[in-house]
Amino acid sequence: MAAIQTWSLCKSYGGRFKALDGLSITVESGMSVGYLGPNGAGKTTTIRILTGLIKPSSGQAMIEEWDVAKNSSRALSIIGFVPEVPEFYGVLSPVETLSFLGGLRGMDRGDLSERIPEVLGIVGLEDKADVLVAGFSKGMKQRLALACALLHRPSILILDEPTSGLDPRGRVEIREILKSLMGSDTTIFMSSHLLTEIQEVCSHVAVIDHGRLLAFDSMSRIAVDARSEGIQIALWKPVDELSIRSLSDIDGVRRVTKLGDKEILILIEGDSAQTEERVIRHLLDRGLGVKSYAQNNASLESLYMRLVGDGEE
Amino acid sequence: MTSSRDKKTGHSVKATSQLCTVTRYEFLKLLRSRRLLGVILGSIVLVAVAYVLPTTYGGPYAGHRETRLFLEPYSHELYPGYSCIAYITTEGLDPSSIVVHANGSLLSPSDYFLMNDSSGVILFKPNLLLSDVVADYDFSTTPEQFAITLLEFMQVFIAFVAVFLGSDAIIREFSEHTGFITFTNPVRREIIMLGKFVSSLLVGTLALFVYYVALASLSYVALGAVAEYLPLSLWYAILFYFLCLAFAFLVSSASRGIAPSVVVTFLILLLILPAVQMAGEEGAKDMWFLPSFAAGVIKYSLQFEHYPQDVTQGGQPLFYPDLALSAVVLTAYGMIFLLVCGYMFSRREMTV
Repeated sequence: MAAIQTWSLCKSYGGRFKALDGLSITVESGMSVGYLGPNGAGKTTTIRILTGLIKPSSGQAMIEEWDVAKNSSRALSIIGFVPEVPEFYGVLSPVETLSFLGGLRGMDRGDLSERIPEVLGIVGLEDKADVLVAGFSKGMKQRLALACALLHRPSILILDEPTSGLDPRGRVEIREILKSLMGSDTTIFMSSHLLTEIQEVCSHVAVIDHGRLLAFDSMSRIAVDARSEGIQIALWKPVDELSIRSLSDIDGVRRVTKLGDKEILILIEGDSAQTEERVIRHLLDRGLGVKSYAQNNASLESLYMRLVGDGEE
Repeated sequence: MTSSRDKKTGHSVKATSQLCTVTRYEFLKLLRSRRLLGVILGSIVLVAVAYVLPTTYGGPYAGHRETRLFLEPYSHELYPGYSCIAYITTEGLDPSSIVVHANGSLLSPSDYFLMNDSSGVILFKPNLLLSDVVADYDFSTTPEQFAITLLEFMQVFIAFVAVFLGSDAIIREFSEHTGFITFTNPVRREIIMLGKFVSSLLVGTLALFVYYVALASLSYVALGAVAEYLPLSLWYAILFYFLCLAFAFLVSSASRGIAPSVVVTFLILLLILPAVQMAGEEGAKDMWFLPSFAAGVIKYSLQFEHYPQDVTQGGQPLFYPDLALSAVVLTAYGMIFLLVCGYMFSRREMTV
């Protein structure tokens, strides 16, 4: 069973700005997925829909077998969530905060008294257990948020830019905690715009921009993509899904990504010269025409840049 | 069938336990943030001010008084032989203690007649229109009147407490981003709202209870008696607080920020509603449906056995809120506000 699944997920704000535009993604149980994209790509919107904080304009978001919009309580009982900027009730201590959240989740006192010191130990807040949160730094709040998310031993952990705004040391500490969770049965879905972070923590990566999924694969396959020859082709006529599929079937073509109505990115492996020739011929045969043709070798970073264009908004 | 019933039962038990959890921690937050202390101190200060003010301005609740009487000519067939009349307007007059002097000489009780024990109307046989007439008497405010005096600002106080405890209760979760942690738990927003409401209701009720206990203690100290229907008045005060708090929660659930929520709640409860009531009264309308009018029972319920009836004075009708109807009005508004608040809160998106 998929841990997280979305179908044609759309979210518009004020009927004009489309934060998500038909996003479909399936995250299998046990995966640790880095959700990568520039600012404004739709990462936070996806995560807020998955955590029931906002409702999709259309489409469906599922946590295991539960539709988040229709059965949010069931869906939320499965996940642990770390928001981008965690804020807490300043007049409560970490122990009280965790007891409160555990109470909401129906955890009994015995379980809580055992689990609270455990999660505070994991995030390194044992010595601050009874200090009021009001005086906590951003990093301490981030750790406490992680403790809250881990409290009920969730099978799915969703994190929205968990290291954003932290100093380098804080980032390393949070990453270390997340890495320690890898290999367990916990599914991790973590948004970030930091490639290194995703590479370090995740087994899979999904790239999103303008509310659309551009790529989703294992880190190793993406790394192969990154080493592949990439050709960016501008066409005279709009390219349709059928043409994309037929291009994907050409020998030596690893992946075809639609960058715009008249623009595609093709990753090639093996004998690139022959493959490129086949691709060009195919495009001409289909009457799409070739306006421009650019070739370069890509690192993971430049692959990301190619996928999202210069998408930083 | 059995399993669905089991599921249903299980869910309802969980909701109750979640409600208790939210209520407990909201109460703790109100305690730690010193809001609980604030409203209790506020109630003590207000009751003290309400007690002290009348005496400061020369109106003690009990004692002995010497009053120069202004006599008018009197002639009526019902009381033949009496030539002039005077009025003692002091409330709580003890008729048996009245002693009258005319031009410094003690007047014989056979020369005057106290027309009505409680009204302080005195008829005189000798013509004393040109004399200097002074009455000595004891007086003691009734416990009911004492309580009414001290409850003069109760509606305003209740509105203040509701604004203080309720107008940021919901919006704060959004504006201070704490909702990201709370709302992502398997708990319905309505439960969160209800837990917050119950804790604010408890704290406000505690403040009202302190106020009434202080009032009763002062009444006992000053008069040696306490108004019999004080608990009934407290009950109506709690009902009015329930309504005000529900309204504050409603505004809080619809507002975009803490400051607008506080201002709007404050303006509507303390300015607009009383203004509408005044306009209605000017237009000789029975405003039974208006919360601020219905809240008049907080004072009038003290006169339960001699409850004031609607009258016409100088051609102008004067309406009094009905006890039962007011209870229905206050409860109904409170329930409606709460339901709308729950609906709006549950639909509100965390887009900040």
